[in-house]
This record gives sequence, C-alpha cells and structure tokens, in this order.
Amino acid sequence: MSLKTKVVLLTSLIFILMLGVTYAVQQKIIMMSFGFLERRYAADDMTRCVRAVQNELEHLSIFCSDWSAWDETYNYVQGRNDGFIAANMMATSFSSNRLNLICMGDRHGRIIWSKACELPTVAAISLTPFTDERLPADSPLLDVKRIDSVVKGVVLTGRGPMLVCSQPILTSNNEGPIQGFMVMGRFLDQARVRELSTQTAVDFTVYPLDGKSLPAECQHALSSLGSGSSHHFDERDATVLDAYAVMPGIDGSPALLLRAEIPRAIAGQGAAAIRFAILCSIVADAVIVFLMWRWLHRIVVDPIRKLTSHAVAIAENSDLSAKVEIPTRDEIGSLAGEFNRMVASLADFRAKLLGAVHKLRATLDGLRDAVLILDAAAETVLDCNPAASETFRLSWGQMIGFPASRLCVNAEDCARIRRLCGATGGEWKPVERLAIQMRRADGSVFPVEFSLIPISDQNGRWVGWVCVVTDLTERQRAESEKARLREQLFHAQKMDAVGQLASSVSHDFSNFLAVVRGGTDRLRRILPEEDAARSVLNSMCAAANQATEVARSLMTLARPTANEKLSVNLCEVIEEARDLMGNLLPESVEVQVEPFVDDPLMVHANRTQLQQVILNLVINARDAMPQGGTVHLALTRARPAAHGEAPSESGDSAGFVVLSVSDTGQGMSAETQARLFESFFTTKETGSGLGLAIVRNIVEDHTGTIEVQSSPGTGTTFTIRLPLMPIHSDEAGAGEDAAPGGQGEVLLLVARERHTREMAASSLESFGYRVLQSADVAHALVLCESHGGSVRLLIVDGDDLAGGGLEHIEPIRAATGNVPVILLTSGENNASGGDQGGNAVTMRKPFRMADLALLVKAELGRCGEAVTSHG
Amino acid sequence: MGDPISVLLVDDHAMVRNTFAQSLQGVADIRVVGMAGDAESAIAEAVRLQPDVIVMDIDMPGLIVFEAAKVIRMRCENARIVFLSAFFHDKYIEQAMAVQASGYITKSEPLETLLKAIRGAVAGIPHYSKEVLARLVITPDGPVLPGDHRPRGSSLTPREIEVLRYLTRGLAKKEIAHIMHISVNTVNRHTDSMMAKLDIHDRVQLAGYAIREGLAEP
Repeated sequence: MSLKTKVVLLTSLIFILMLGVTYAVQQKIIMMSFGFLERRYAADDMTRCVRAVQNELEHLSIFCSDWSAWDETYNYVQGRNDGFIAANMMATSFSSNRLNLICMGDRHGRIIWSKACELPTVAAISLTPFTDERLPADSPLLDVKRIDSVVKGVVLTGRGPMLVCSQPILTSNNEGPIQGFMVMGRFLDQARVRELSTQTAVDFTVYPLDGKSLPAECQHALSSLGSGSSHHFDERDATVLDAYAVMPGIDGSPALLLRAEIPRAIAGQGAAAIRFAILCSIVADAVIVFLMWRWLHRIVVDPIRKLTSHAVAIAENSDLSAKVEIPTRDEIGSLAGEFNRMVASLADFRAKLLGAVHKLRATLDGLRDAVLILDAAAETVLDCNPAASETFRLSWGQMIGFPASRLCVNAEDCARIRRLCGATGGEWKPVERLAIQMRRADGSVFPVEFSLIPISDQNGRWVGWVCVVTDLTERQRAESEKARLREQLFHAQKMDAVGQLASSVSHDFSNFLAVVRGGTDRLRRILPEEDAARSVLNSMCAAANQATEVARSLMTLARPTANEKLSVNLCEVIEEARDLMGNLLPESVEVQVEPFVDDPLMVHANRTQLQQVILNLVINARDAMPQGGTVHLALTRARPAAHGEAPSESGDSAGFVVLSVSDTGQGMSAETQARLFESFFTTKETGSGLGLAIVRNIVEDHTGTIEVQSSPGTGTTFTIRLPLMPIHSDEAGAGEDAAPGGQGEVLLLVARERHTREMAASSLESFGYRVLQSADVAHALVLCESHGGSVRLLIVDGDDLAGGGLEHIEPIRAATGNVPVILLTSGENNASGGDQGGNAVTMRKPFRMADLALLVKAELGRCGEAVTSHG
Repeated sequence: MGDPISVLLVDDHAMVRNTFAQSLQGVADIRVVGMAGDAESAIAEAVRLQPDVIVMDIDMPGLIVFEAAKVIRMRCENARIVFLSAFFHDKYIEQAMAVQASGYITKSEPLETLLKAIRGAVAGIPHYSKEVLARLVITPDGPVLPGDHRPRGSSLTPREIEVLRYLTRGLAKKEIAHIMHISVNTVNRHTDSMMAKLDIHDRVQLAGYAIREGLAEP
C-alpha cells in the first residue's frame, strides 16, 4: 500500500474518529445533561403540584381550626347550643367554603353531627364512615388528644379521594378541655385538580390508589416509586415527559399517584443544538482533516516520493552523481542530506572499487601467466586475460564459453580437475600446482603448471574457479639454457685457469728468450762473417724468434676474457691465430691464408675473442676433415653499397671486412646447418657443442653477422662480416693520395710542454715526416737557421702564445720563408681547420694525430700547388 | 761526437738485465751506468747516477713501476724512462704515457728497437708502436691513448689501483703497507672501498678481476 493511500486512510480514520467522538460527546454528555436538566425541572414541577395539594390541605386545616376552636362549637358539642347547627351549618357554609364534609363528634368518637354533600348542589350524600354513628376507634382522625393536635391528609372514600382535616374542639381561646373532634373534608375531584393545574401551570392528573385498575404506565411508575424514589419520569415521546409522585394517605399508606405531563422543550432545544453542533463539527473536522492531509503530503509524502523517485532513478541509471534537493530542516531534509552523502560515499566507493577493478584487470592483463575464470563446475571458460588468449592461440571472444576439457590433453587430468572442483564449498585447501599437458587451438601440446583457486559467494559456496596456467615451455628452455651457461662458465673458468698458467709461463719464457736473443745477437756481432758457427747461430736466432712468437700468442690467448674492445687490425689477428694453429692441426691439414689486399683492416673488437673465433672455426674445419685437407682463410674489404648495408649511425659508411674460413671436408646437411649454432648441438663424439655457439655470440657481440654455406661432400664455408672502424674509412675512402703519410718533409714543431711536443713529434715521424722540435721561439729561430730552408711547415702550440696572436711567431715564419702554419689551440672560438689568414690554419684540441697528419699533408699539398702555380 | 748516453737498467731478473747490459756494451753511443733489481733500488740508483735514460721492466715485484717512474721524474728532471715489458698491453701503454715515459717496447723486439728507443728518448722522439702513435689524441692536458670504454675499474682511485696490483701479486697487507708507506688500516680501507665499488667480496675474486681487466699481470 502506498504512503499516499496510507495517509488518505489515516486522515479518513481520524475524520471518522473525530466525528464519532463529537457525536458521542454530544449525545452522551451534552444530551444527557439536557435530560438531567429536563428531569430536574420536571421534578420541580411535580413538587409544585404536590405542594399545591398540600397547600389545599393547609387551607382546609386553617379553616377547620377556625371552626373547631370556637366557643359556639364548643358549647354545641356540650349540648348547650342547639341553634348552632341551624345558624352555622347552612348550605352556603358548604358551598362558599367548598366543603364537602363537616363532621363533629365527642371525645369518644361518637358522631354528634355530620353532613356530607355534593357541590355545588350541596345535596347530602352518604359518606362512610363520616355519616355513620361513630368513627372507627382506630381512625387516625380521632388522634386529637392534645390541644395542638392536627390530623390532616387524604382519605379515599367511595366517592373519590378527599382531603380531610381533624382538630380538637376547643374554646375560642384554644383552651380545653377537649370536647370532641371536628372533621372537615373536601373532594379532590377533577375540577379541583384542574384548578390546581392552572394554579401551578402544570398539567397533572391524580389517581387514587384504591386498588382499582391503573393505566399500565402508572403501574410501572408506582412500582418504581415504591422502591424509594420520590419521583419517577417516563419519556412518553419526544414532546412529553411524564413525571410521577405519590402522596400518602392519612394513615401513612400511599393514597394518591400524581402524574404531571411536562412538555419536553429543553430536550427538544438541546437536540436541535446538538444537531447543529454536530454539523458544525463535521464541517470543522473535514476542514482540519483536509488541511492535515495537505500538510502531510507537503512535508512527508512529497519529499518521501521525491527521495524514492531519486533512489529508483539511481537504481535504474546507476548515476551516482545526481543529488536530491529537499531544502527542509526537518528529519526528511536530514535524511535527504544523509542520502546524498551516502550516495556520494557510494560514488567514491564505486570509483575506488572501479579503480581497484581496473588495477586488478591491468594486473591480470599484465600477467605473463594465462589466467582463466571457469564456472562452478570448471567446465566452461567465463573470462580470461590476454596471456591466456596468446597461450591458447584463441581470441578473447573464442575463449569465452570454450569448454575447459578441450584445453586439456589427457582425460585423467580433466577428471582430476573435475574431482577437485566437485566440492561445493568450505575451506579450500590449496592444491599443489599440477604439472599437466595442455593443448593450443592449433593442436600443439605444451607443458604447463596448473593451479586452482575457488571463487566464493557470500555464503562461502564456490561459484567459480580461477585457474592460473603457467606455460613451462620457456622455463624449460631457460633451464636448458642455464645448464648450457653453467657449462660454458665452467669451461670459461677452466680456460681462465689455463690462461693464467699460460700467461705466467709465457712471461718467464719471454724473459728467458730475451736472454737467448741477447746472447745470440751478441755472438753474431762477435763472430766473423765467415765463421761456420754463424749458421748454427742463425738457426738459434730463428728458433728464439719463433719461440718468442709462440710465447706472445700464448699470452694473447691468455689475456683478459673481459669484453674489452679496442681498434684491432684483423690482419694481425689472423697472423697471430695462424701461429697458434700449428699446435692444433695435424700435418694432414694445411692452412692457406690468402694474401691481404688491404692491410690494415681495423675493426672495433676484442682481439682475444676474434682469435677465439678464428681458432674455433679452424678447429671445426679440422674436425670436418678427419682424412686431412685444406683450410682456406681469406680477408677482404667490402663497401657498404656492394652489400646493401645501411651506413652506420655516425654516418661513416666505412664498409665491412669479410672473413671467410673454408674447408674441403665432408660438408653438412641442411638439418645440421639449421641447428649448427645451437648450444650443445654437436655431431662429434667428443664435442661440447659450444664452439660455434661461442663464435656466433662473439660475432653478434661485435655487431657482425655469420653465415654458413655447405652441402654434403663439397666442404663448408663460414663467412663473417664485421663493420670496419670509421677512422680508416677517411684514409681508405680518399685513396692513396689522402693517406697521412709523409715523404720525409721537415716540420718545425714549437710547443712548450715537452711530453706533448715529443709525443706529437714521434707520432708525426711515424707518419713519415721529419720533425724539428722547439720549446720556444728563440730556439726555433736557431733551428731554422741551422736547417736553412728545409722547413716546409710550422706547427705551433697556440696555447703557449701569450694572447694567442700569430705575431709572436712572425720571426719564425720570416725565417722559414713564410711556410704554412698549423696552430694547435684549446680556444673555443677557432674552429678546427679554420683558416687564420696569413697562410695559417688552426687545429682545436683535442684532436687525433692521424687528423693532424692529414692536415699536414693537405697543407703541404696546398702550398706545393701554390708554389707550382706561382712558378 | 758527444758523451755517450748513460743508461740505468732495471729488471728483477739478473739474467735478463745482464744480457741487456752485455748487448749494450758494444754500442758506442750508449753506456750502461748502473743496474737495479726492483723499483725502490731504481729510484735510489737514478737519484745517485742521474742517468740520461732508465730502461725499466714493468713486471717487477715491490713498488709499482709507474709510481716509481713518477718519483724518478720528480727527482731526476732530465732522465727519460723507457718501459720494457713482456708484451704490449694498452693499459700499460696508457699508464706509461700518463707518467710521460719516452717509450714502451717489448722484450721480444730486436736489440735495434731498444737502441732506437734509447736514442729517441734522448732526441725527444718517444718510442711507441706505430699503431699507438696513430691512435694518439692530443688534448689540452697532454697526449692520451683513447680507450673505447671505461670499465668498472675506472671508478677506482689511482691509490686503490696501486693497492689492487700489490694484492694481485699475492703480497700481504702488511707488506703492501710497508711498500706504500701507509698503515695496514689504510690498506684495509682501500680494499673495502674497492670491493664495495666493484661489488666483489673476497680477495681472490678481486685479484681475478684485476687480471681480467688488465690492471695487473697474473
């Protein structure tokens, strides 16, 4: 039932209750009050009626007293006044005084004179016992023994009820002795009652209680009055109320029943007033209830409905940002505020929850292990992460709803998993990771570790499963790789120890050989040319030289295994390796090294590793030729364009050096070639399977490539390509003319710092120049003088010149005939090779001596051309 | 013709230095004025004899020869030093150049090379291999032989490298402290510092590292 309906019902109920209460109050309290008031007035009227009758008796008593206490009467009774009757008891005495009875008797009750009559005719009537001889002895009327005795009351006669009064007969002075009694009576007939009604303004009726039949309503009233009530009321109808009262007779017993008919004006007026009041109440209640209904609607129903609609809207739209506006300060306003706060908290909570979900999702998506969400029976995939799609080679859409059993290879595994998932809830005991085989969409089988975690609902029932599937393929591969590396490390450590031993031995050998060589050199100087022993000496020299080379090769091999790369001449490396090969190859294997067309061929490399590459390839060739054969080594330069190689990052497209090692052995099948460089792959009975793997690693570490061409029966050729160092590309690219070498031209080098000067001079001499050195200008001038005009070029350390000006060396330039000048400077302003004017260029430190040699050659060439053209 | 070039020969092997001395005996412009069996003696003899050229073996026990060379250069301004080694090592060549040596030759080279180096040292033409001289770079701070990489050892101070070399030779810390004129605690401090920098945790590994990196001979 809606709140609105409840409010309507409540207000209606209140309306009905109010009406009921109003009606009950009107009827039961106000109307009863009117009834009480009506009966009280009716009782008053009744009392007035009774009093009217009693007044009648009182009047009769006074009148009787006048007659009984009168000497005339007194005397008459005593028999001494005979004319009394005639004189006083005339008809008028009865009619004018409306007396129906006068009776006089003596002290013994004997009636002396009596007369009863009807009025207004005053006709005598017989009226027992007053017209008898005497009154009954027990008659109360005789109870007038004292002077002040008065007996009055109602006497029921055969002619109707009569008001009677009996008094003693006294003298006019109210003195006795009492001579008898005098009784006077008056009928209480209808006429008299009407008079009394008129007198009292109450319409009442008198009923004698003489045992004759009474009306039924009177019988009821009489019985009610007999129980002690002074009045009895009987609502005859809406307009008349009957009031009853009983008057006692002279003997004390009930003699008369008085019934007054009271008009019900008060009750009628009251009822009308009540009706009006009820009507007014209905209207007022209706207005109040309506206002209450409106008010309840406004302050309770409408806000609650608004709040409810808002809550429903949130439930339907999940929009937690909307707010409900109820700007009241009562409890509903507070409720709305709290509701908004609760929704805000929910929004915040939802945001955090979403954040957590996103994090979880991201974590799940980022996992390398496949994660599957299965249904309660672990039969269907409900969700998965990208790793799962990748692992099983199924898209996410294909994974959803995919039967889990189809991912398993063995039925036993499926059954085992199903058994684990068979329980419905409770405490989950983590199962050890199951090692099983699973199947991808393409049918390939792979090893996995499989673990299960149940998803519980609020009641602890398991409603799904999280399965974490770890693909063990890579791990197994990594483990085999680890084993390979361990083996390699062991091998390396062994080689390290051997190398250290070799190094130590070669050091000592070197010293011994130095002695031998020194000795033979000295002997050669001492012995005459024709001495026969010289040939022996020469043999010893040659052997010593060879031993020196062997020692050097041993040392080189034992040198650091650290990956230290320097500029290395590959031609030299091959020569060094060749020296070592002799110890490795049987005589049946011949080594041919093709003469080097280009020497040097500089590469950025680790000399030892390159030697190892060459030796490993040669050993491989040896093993491929158990019957003997030829190993052919060739070293050539290849321009990048010729091989389609991209220039190096520095832009120095230096090209490549190509080393090929060929044998005339049995060759290899395609299968063997495919696995040739794998670690531990070997076709030899005693091979470690590491040799060619190490070769490939080293070549790749030197940013080179290795290829193999072979077929069974035709031998094998390994081709290694290594990048050439850019420094030499300048020389090579420019051709012979650009080579930094000189032809013994004399250069004058002026620099104060001795070591720098000497090293630079030494370097330039190694490039083919002759260098005169000077620490200052003065000495330079001396040198110029002594060497005449042979100085072709001046090299000056500009940092030594105060202020860096060329004027300081002007004397030298003058002395040398204004030869070209190369100024070496640390200054920031002068660009390398910049022209200083006056036949001078600068070279900014730091610079390579090779570059300086090139600049020297260029300057000499420029100067020569100038001289030629000038000439 | 002026005075012959006075030469001081330093080698721990008496046989070797005697051979060299004998070989040089017949050379007119060269006179061997003295010989020494270790770096400490070399310093004393150099100060005493003030030779023109000191031919010094690199691979000697005791004080590191490069340290000795520094001392000699300070005390004998005119003396030129030519280093002699069993083989060529870039590390040694760099260090030889750093102490402004006038040459670096190997024992396996013919006598003529030694003569050329001695004469060149006096004439101001330092003797290094052609390859080295071609790679030479002149910087504002002097000539250097550029390395292609800075190994882990580049974080070591010269003093630490010196300690490392002695350690690699198997010298006790007490001996190292005596040679270097420092306390044993200082040697320990240098050792701890090196181990922390190189993430190496025992002496054997440290020695192995020094050999691999060419900081010391095995």
